[in-house]
Amino acid sequence: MANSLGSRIAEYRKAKGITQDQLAEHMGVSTQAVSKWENDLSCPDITLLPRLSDYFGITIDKLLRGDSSNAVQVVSESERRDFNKMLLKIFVNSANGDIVKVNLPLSLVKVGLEIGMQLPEISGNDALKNIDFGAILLAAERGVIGKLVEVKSAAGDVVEIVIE
Amino acid sequence: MRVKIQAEGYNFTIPLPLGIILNGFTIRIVKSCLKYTDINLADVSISEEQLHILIRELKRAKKVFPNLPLVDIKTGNKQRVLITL
Repeated sequence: MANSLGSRIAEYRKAKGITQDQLAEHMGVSTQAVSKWENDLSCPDITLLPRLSDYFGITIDKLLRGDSSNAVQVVSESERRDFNKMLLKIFVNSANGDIVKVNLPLSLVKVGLEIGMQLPEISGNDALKNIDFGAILLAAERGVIGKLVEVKSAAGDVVEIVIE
Repeated sequence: MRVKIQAEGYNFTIPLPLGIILNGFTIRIVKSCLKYTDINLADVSISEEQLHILIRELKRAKKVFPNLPLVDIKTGNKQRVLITL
């Protein structure tokens, strides 16, 4: 993944198969402005970031910091965050334009699993039906953080599961 | 907790204060109301005690993550449902 904001914008734009003109039109800015962003001559206004990230189907964090912030890593016991302050994030970007973001405190997921609750099948997406949340919880308890799952289906759906 | 719905130009926000909606009293009300429905209590997989545990954890999570967007659904036709803690 590119290591500057401009190059990431260019990369996501090309991945989406659109031109600078189309992106500019969607964002309500000039084509020159998009060109400047992509060449790191200027940055998008902060108020445009939510719309830009939504358009690309990614988080603002991912747009600003790239994939490195989501790299899977095992944190040593002394450096681990308090389990009660950790989140399980699920992101579904379906091909038909629906976007589902779920943020669940891990402590809540743990209690839910302990009392035998079936976590809802988010958006009815097939890719989520067989996910073993118990295993994800166990990994988190052992210090694993980052993007654990990234599935891109043939139909164009994208599912990401991140522990933060 | 708050549920926000945006659909076809309408915006609804439904506040659901956990302390008022989820407590032992409301659980007992729900339990007593179940007698008058076709729902068999044996079919309800969550017991009263488990519900208490879940509510306690929800309230604790709210203190750690105030206003956390639990679920944010945006559909392709610009409808949105946002549930915040």
